[in-house]
Amino acid sequence: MSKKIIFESSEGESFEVDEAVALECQTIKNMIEDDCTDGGIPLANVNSATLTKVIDYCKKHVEAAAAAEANAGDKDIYGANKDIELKTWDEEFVKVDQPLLFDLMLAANFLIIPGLLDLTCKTMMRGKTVLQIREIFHIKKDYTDAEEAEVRKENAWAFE
Amino acid sequence: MSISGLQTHSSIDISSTYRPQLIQQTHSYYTRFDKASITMEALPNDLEERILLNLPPTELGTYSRVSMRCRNVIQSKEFIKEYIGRSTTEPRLLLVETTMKPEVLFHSMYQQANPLLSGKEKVRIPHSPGPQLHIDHPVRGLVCLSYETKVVITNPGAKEIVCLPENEAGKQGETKCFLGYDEDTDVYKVLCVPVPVLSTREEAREYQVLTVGSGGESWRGIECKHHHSLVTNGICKGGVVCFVALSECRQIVRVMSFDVNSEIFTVTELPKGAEIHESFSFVNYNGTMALVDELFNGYYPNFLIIIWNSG
Repeated sequence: MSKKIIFESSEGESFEVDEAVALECQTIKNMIEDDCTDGGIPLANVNSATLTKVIDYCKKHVEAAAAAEANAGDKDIYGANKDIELKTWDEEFVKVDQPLLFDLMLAANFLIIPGLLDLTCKTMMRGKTVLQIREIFHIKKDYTDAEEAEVRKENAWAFE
Repeated sequence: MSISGLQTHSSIDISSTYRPQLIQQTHSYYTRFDKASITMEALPNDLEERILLNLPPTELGTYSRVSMRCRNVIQSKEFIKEYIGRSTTEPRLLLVETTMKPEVLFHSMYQQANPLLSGKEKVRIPHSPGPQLHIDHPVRGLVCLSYETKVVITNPGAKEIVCLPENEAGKQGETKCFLGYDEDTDVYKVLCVPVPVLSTREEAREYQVLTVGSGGESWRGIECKHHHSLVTNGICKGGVVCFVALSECRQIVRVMSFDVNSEIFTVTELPKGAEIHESFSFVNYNGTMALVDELFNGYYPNFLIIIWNSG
């Protein structure tokens, strides 16, 4: 049986995962290599909701990697269909509200999960309008109307 | 997992020092996301840059309108460098349409963009009708287009066009222009070489070069020890422009390379056993330069490829 690793969320809730799943996090990988994961790993700044999602992500990617290995050489000339499936899964995975997306990004940054970090960063601002970005990130408009018109002109190609 | 006594000791030592460290680190750069006060500046570890690097160019335009600080971030030299580095690895399509009309239409888009043909990101460049129009391979998203004495560089993604000074050599004879880029010095240059004469016009014998963005740009004549005239297109990689050319006696087809930084031409040796002729042209094959014979095997749609590893 594979070794288990126990995570503890900020609420004190315990999450047991396979070592292979935990190894997706570079930070945890370092700790496992240093052999200091006994008695659970407290993640004081990752709440249970976020941690559940993070574990989902790592599990899926471990399974996908294992499946890809098992099917190696089975690809058609157009490349891996599995990749497309995983990509679709990823896209669905980040269809969450903005605060949770933010928490996921910060958790991925802290736990060092490059794939999840890229995924959340990619989704964070995509398709947002100027007003939405200002609202989400609490950015005050510091342009005068004339300046804003100037910037608009500068980037006219982007708004046709 | 077998652990020797010594290793067990050392691992205990590490865990006793490592654990408090991790928690401390946790507090210093991962502060709880407070939904009311989150700002871009407060993000740890250059996350803002990471987010922005993942945006398509059009959305960077949106972000620059958010605030002055946002605009400064995007327009900083470091960010531009990072962004170009990343975006050149993304698959991108460039459609070039030369119609009966005296204009060229460029349409540039990301392959995964949806919908593929959005009507955005199109650029039209008018030119006088005639057979001399030459469109070069894109170099870091820029395309050089030349006809007669006129030379234009366009960024089809950002829909920008820059007209370079007219090239007088184009008056004397047919020429073609290539854009070259040298990573080490971060300099773009346009190289202008003669084309073998097909009509009654004289063949130009001058090689000219222009440094782009130098301000008060002008064409400079340069020396070439191996007189040649261009047959097909050129391609730029690693600070060197390569193209298929005819030697002076017009009997030998060879590959010439032009070093963008030193401005020196050299005759490049072909791999052993490889022979090329006038229908060969350079393409970018999975990031490597390759010579392709489009006429190979007559009317069959086959290609003969010579992978070019100049490095």
